[in-house]
Amino acid sequence: MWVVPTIPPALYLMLSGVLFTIGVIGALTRRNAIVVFMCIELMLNAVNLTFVTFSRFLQSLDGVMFAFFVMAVAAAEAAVGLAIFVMIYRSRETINLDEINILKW
Amino acid sequence: MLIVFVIMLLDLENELRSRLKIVYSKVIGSFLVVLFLFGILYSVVAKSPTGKMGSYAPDKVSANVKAVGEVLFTQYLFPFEIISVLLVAAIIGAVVLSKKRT
Repeated sequence: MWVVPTIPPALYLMLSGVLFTIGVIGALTRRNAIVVFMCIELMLNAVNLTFVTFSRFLQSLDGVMFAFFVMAVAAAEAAVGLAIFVMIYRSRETINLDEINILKW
Repeated sequence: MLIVFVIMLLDLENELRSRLKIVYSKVIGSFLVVLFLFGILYSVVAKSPTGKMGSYAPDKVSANVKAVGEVLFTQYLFPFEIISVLLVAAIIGAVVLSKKRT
């Protein structure tokens, strides 16, 4: 049986914060809908990493369960969101977020 | 995987390869986000995380799958069922949305 190396949880949390920040910067600066979508997934997975880290270091399984549920919600979001992108691309020939403004007034 | 499939389905070559346009608001937004990152890092480093310890000791890690399954199907059974309904609804929604109008 192998031994899990003891890395301090602060390093995991820092990595999670860096990943989340990369996701936020991408979602704010990129204008392609698919890239923004991938950045949102990156943010969700950074939060998952935080959940699993605390679950491991507080010796509780609740964080793992929440990571499962976050993944399931991300899968549902991916299915519906990508279907919406395909539909928008069929009608408008672009998925640039600056040009999709029919809900603005 | 699904994302790669949609990128292949839509003809986005020039859009995905377009350079990042630097706008004033994006610079301000990125600056605020990096500030937020320093807030996160400070809060992580300043104090070691505390909390109520659970019963999942490190020597039980080798039976990880069993423990996770037991908790998932007893304590979290109701959210599990909700998730199954949510996934079915999402799949039906995706199929209905991407179906061609005839």
